[in-house]
Amino acid sequence: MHTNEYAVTTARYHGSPMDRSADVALADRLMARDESALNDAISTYGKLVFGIARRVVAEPSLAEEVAQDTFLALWRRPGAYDPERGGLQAFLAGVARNKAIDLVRREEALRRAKDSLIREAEATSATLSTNESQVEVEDREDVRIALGQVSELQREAIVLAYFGGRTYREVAAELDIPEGTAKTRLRDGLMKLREIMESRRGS
Amino acid sequence: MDAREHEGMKALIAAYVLDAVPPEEINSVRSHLLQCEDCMAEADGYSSVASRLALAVDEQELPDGFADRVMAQVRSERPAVEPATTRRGWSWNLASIFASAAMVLIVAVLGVSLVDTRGDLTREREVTEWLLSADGLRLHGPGVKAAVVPDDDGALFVASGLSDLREDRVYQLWLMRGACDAEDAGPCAVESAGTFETEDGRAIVDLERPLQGYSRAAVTVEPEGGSEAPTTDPIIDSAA
Repeated sequence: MHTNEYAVTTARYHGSPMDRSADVALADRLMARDESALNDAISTYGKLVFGIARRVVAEPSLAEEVAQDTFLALWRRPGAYDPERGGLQAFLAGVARNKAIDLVRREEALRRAKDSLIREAEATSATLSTNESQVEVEDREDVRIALGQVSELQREAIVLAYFGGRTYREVAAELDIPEGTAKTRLRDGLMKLREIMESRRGS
Repeated sequence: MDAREHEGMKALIAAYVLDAVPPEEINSVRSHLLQCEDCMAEADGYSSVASRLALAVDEQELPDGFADRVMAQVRSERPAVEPATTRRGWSWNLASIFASAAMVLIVAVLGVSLVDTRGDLTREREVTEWLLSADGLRLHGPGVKAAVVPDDDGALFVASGLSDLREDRVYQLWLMRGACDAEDAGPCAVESAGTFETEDGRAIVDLERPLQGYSRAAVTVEPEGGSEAPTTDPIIDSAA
């Protein structure tokens, strides 16, 4: 029974959008220490994870390390992923981002420059349909659309903090705005993102 | 809590969820968050957004050989002997807590890194309760809940209900191997697992060593800096 389930899952991982049951099956295989499951996770989510690492960390070889660490963390502690709380994609994305941020927090020189961070975020949020792999695309489009709909000033502040590893004080200094304004932009921006994402989910 | 302080903290919640509060301010935000339902609710509201924001990037082609390098690392970590039992029940139980943002908080409040899943917030209490119900050594003492629990590559000591000590005293955790359950039962090796302080009676200590082989854990009160060997009777003890 298990063998069949796995075969179906593996098939689903190559290409088509998948539902949560595929994540559950993959998590089960990881839990059973099936190394091919990790390989599947890498082929499905590797590019996204590496994309996140590259967004945060300037140096490509260090970004690769972040991506490797992300998948190793999944392998070492598959139980940290809880399908009831979301897709594996979002879980891995969060882990990758946290690992990348930890790195640039330790070593400021590894941070990406403000302008390229903002430029890239603008370009990404403007791209609604992608020719990327079609894995949980809807979820990702929701986030892009939401990020595209907050004001430019809010987006800048959020991107600098979230992908740039800046504190709100550093955001204020780099954007040359008062600290209170930086806090407000982060807060209003997050509120707006939440509103948009929730309304898209509800629809 | 005066209203102005509350407003000041509330204004920082979004920054906190985005990891954008500077280190020198983090403690005050955390302790406010733990006491303030209103701020906790706001943080909870942002957390699902913050955890999904990372999805808003373009994919990047992986460097050649990426999967091979990860798999090589995995193979090098293969245990010599496969675990006899599946850890599934335990792991899923773990999962629901680890994936919860309370981890953020506990990690935040207590300064330990349990997992790399931030951006989602619930209650420290839940985590503590979970930790206390997990496998491991339970320590007993009046009004105290404490346990040493396995944590993938090491172990954690978690306690609540301890008294905060005066400045020149610390708690010290002792781990014991051998026949340590009863007095004079046989050889028993005692090693220090470090000293710790409490905050509102709570403590979490990352022991950075696996729990295997230890049969007993106990905590004593020792002079500042800790002792080579216990100098007082345990106030909590897994053998009690």
